[in-house]
Amino acid sequence: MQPVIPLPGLERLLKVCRSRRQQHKVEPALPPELRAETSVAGLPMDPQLAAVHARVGSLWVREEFAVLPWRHALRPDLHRMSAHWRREWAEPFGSLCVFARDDRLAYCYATVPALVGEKGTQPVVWVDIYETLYAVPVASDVDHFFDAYARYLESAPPLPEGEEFVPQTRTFPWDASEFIARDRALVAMIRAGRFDFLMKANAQAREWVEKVAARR
Amino acid sequence: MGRCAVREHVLWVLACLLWAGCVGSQAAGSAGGMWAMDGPHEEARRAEVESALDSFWSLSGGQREVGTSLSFTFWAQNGALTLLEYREEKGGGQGRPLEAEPFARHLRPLLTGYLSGSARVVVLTLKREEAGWAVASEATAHGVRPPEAKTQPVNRRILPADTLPRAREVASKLVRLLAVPSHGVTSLQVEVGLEDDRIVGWEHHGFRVVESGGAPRALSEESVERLARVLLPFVQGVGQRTLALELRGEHRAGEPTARLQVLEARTLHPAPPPGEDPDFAAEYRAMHEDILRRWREGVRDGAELLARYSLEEMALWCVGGMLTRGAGLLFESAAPTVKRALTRGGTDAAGWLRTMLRRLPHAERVAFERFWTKVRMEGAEALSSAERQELAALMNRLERLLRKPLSTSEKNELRRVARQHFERLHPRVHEAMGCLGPYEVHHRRPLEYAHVFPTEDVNAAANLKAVMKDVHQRIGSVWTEFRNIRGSPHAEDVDEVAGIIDRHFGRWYDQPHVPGEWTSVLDRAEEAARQELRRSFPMP
Repeated sequence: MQPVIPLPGLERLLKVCRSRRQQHKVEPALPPELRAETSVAGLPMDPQLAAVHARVGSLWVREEFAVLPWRHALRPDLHRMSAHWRREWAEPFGSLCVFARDDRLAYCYATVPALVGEKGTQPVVWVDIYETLYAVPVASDVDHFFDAYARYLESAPPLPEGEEFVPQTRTFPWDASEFIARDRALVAMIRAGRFDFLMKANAQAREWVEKVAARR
Repeated sequence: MGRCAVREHVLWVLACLLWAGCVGSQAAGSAGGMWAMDGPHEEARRAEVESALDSFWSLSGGQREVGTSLSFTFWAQNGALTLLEYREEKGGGQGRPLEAEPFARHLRPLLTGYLSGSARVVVLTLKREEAGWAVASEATAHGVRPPEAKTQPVNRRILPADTLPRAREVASKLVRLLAVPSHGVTSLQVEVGLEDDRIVGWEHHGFRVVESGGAPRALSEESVERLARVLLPFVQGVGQRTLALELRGEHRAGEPTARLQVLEARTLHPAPPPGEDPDFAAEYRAMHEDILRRWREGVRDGAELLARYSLEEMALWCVGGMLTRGAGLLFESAAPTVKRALTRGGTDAAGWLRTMLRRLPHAERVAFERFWTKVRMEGAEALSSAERQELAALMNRLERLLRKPLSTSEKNELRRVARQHFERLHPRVHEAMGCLGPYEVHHRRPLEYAHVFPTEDVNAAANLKAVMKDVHQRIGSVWTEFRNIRGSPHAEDVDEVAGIIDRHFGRWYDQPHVPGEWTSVLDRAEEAARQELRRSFPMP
């Protein structure tokens, strides 16, 4: 039996969603026999990502992001999305493993198998696919991504009462640099230039990342 | 439009028999007793009544000629009273002097009664008798509200300090035009321009000698004061309007000066300008009245005035007011593109301004709101020279921003706004598209080329289409190929590519489908679009 990988960041995120009454939805995990793959579109599966899918089938946070389901007949899923982008995106982006997407827009979150660490975990980047591809680092691993997002949501103004939803004007990751910068392992990687190859196309992204690294 | 079919006649004849020096019988209940509920709204309604009573007394208090008739036509709606017309007819011999408080006490219940119920036109006629005023009133339910009429009561009794001096200044100039021959009668027609609380100009339209006489006589100082006091209640309307006045000057034998009579003062109602969007005009008007009411009630800080409104609403208010006298100030700077974009008016201009204001840093956006509020509420002349320079600099900055490509963060924000905008504009499409999985909002003219269309709103409804992810990805591929072919395209190039994409992918716009359902068809559409792109833009 595989050891259970703790996911305090994910638990924190779920707790914050509940306490803020942030509309969210968690689907139950698929049975283990239906998520036996250890790779995604030929790329190594991140162990924390696998643990997330052992915990939840998918996660949606309104106006924020949605974790792709492991497999789904109709909706985009982890394997199909990553396989699609492996075909469509030129390198180095084709070797990213897309595991989540922005709730409303065509941005996505991906792990970076090429930057796998000693513990076997992969850092997470936010990818802008609208024009010339670029990506910015947001976490040293998947659970730190959830943790940073939870802190970002916690710092937001309280949601109004009633049914009418008022869209937030802040966006992740651009308004979350304070929380992203707390991830020391990520900052060390940024300072070492490990993510430079993903930001060549966008000067503003490089500037923002430098500011994140300079916060600590 | 014709009047409402329901016509209500209420003739109240109250004889106010007041003896000089008598303060009148104890009225049934005090002035405060008729206000069933307290609260800000009731305070405002009370202020409306008291303000109207002040106006009536201001014009009737000094009138002692028995038989003089003063007629006030006003619009009553939701507790607000707006004067629309005033007429007077002179009487004969002298009546007794009267006091203000009994006069108000007897008229107050009448006016208060008109605060509730449906909107209506009320004609109140006061006729001077020997020892008081007889009052008759008639109310007619009316289907069309005059554009200058208030729909919300304003909690204000005292007009701004410069209102009466300004009214006297204008009255003094008008009175000088009304040369009256000795023992003669003349008439003069003038139009006075009003904008919210301000008298902004005047012009005369005809002088006539009705009865000739001898050498001209000056009009009395009392005439200037009287004309100023006729103008005062009319400044409490909303928006731009013109007050047409018919004045009569008469010199009577044995009197040192000539007298003025205001035969008629009425607000003109020209037809709406051609091409005006009635929905936009109505929305702008409602917002402007709300801002004006709060301004009149003492909120002077621009940020506080606009805090309750979204950027979209603020942009609508700015554009709606662009045709006012003060707006020209915005374009004293060299900002021709900004001017061209704004002065076309309507929802297009409001959308453009909303998008442009998002590009300004927060501090500059606040400054723009502050300046604009001051121009609209106090007039362009209220800005100091330093403020004018700062406003001009802001307009120039907007002008330069127009030609600059959007930054990454601006694009990110505009995409989110586009998404919110689309969901609000097309709730059914949003619901239908979302049923089969996440969809995306496609900009027909991409954000990266927004700067080659400087007067267009990149987030305008016509530029936004809902597409499923697989469609958006393929559209993106076509734009990627174009980007590699033409690094700095002209507007015509961008529109040509947008047209190519519309032709090959338009069938999937605002249409949900199951992901994967159209894969092979989409592949063919993408290939066909790319082929057409290559034909239109051959590689050198």
